[in-house]
Amino acid sequence: MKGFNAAFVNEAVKLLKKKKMISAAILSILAVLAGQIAVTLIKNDLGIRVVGGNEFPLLVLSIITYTILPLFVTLVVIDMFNGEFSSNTMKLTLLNPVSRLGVFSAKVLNLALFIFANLMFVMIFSMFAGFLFNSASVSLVGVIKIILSYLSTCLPVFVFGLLIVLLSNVFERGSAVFFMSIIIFIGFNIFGFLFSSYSSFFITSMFDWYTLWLSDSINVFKIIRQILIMLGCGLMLFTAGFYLFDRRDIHNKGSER
Amino acid sequence: MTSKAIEITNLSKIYKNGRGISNLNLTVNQGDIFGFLGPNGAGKTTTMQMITGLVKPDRGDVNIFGNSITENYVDAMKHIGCMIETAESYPYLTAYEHLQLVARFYPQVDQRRIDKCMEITGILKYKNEKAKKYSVGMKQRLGIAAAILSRPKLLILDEPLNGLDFEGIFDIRRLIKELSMEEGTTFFISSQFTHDMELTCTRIGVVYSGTLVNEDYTQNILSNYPSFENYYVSEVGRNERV
Repeated sequence: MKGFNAAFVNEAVKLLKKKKMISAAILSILAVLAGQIAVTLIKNDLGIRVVGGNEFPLLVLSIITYTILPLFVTLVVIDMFNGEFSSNTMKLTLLNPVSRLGVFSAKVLNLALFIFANLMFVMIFSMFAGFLFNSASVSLVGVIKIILSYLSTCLPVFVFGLLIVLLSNVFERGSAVFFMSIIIFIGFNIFGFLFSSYSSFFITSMFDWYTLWLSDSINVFKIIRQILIMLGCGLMLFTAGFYLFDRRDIHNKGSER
Repeated sequence: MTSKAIEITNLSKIYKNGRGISNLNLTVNQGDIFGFLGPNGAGKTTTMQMITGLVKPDRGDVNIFGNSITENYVDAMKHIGCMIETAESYPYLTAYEHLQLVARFYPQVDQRRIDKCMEITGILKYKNEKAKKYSVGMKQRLGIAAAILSRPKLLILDEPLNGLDFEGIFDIRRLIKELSMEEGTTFFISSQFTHDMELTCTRIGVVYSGTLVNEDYTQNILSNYPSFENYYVSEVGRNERV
């Protein structure tokens, strides 16, 4: 457990020291600002009220979960695995008294932390922007719904992250993982649309599952089913990813084998 | 506690290109400065990678102070400090931040110890410089600082003198001798240069084409052969004839 704690803190330090976090934060702010400007322009020029103070964070959420967030999740995972394999720095972590399961779990938990932090950051910023420009339509129930939506979105995005973790342990090169992730992301969205009865198994179609929590009559059975499917997928992806990570021989890149 | 620092039994790993190490049996006793001598591609690094768990063996096992590396990895690694293949570093971290990463795995390591290790290896004045600005020699020194940080009972160093200037080679050689004499640290060092081994090690194992050809104490070698080169050439030549 000590080894895991140290590995977890180290992964967090490495994540913070890299520029990915700052880039994610800046792009998130830009996305929120662009959304707010668009909403305000439409309201002022056309006289159409697109969203109120409570709906604006949800509009932002629906945009970033299909754009910036999966992109940064992919980049962070590639950095954590392929980046460290190719720069031969993975051994710096592994050559310590910590099991490979400890290292793998520390990386995966940091990914979860990154997703959570990114979503919370966007939520706070978009709530602030929404309330500032449309303070008239703000309500406590609305705020609770926003928090619930952002929190529930962490789960499908994390499961998608686990899929990228698996890919990054299958493919040697980060660029291959990146392109495969894009193909899978687009493919899942298309398949989710074409085969809507099986859409629960295409994890990207779950990115908007927070709408289940927002409806007036909450379908508890459906929510539980979705949670179980996501947990099942997550568990399988984690296990498959760890299996490959554990079996992997760590050589210097370029050394002849 | 066993007096054997490393016990290697029937260790084998053969890569697709035919290189690797075959059926290695070797014991390194506590207090030894064991030199693993051989040419490029002989299997030195592969052996060290298997000893430290970076590479899984096809067959055989390694015990570190009685703990199997394949079955009890965490306990086996508690007493090891190592630098394998090349000294790597995260380019976006400073030397101090690097050592802090390592220190988190060892509760007994505090800030003073980190400073001490940087002082010993001569990188204290660069402690706040990012590693991307480091030369190969400085990275090598940082790698050695990280390896000795936890005061390990066993140090595994893969070609530790590579990339160092004359002063660096002298410093690291002196450090190895000091740690061995004062703290009883056991060393397992690889090199392809007989001169390095002769000046540093108390016991030598010659590895050639994936096989341990012979091993003996430095004193015995020097009393039986005119020089280390003669011993090395003789052992390798004998193996080639076989």
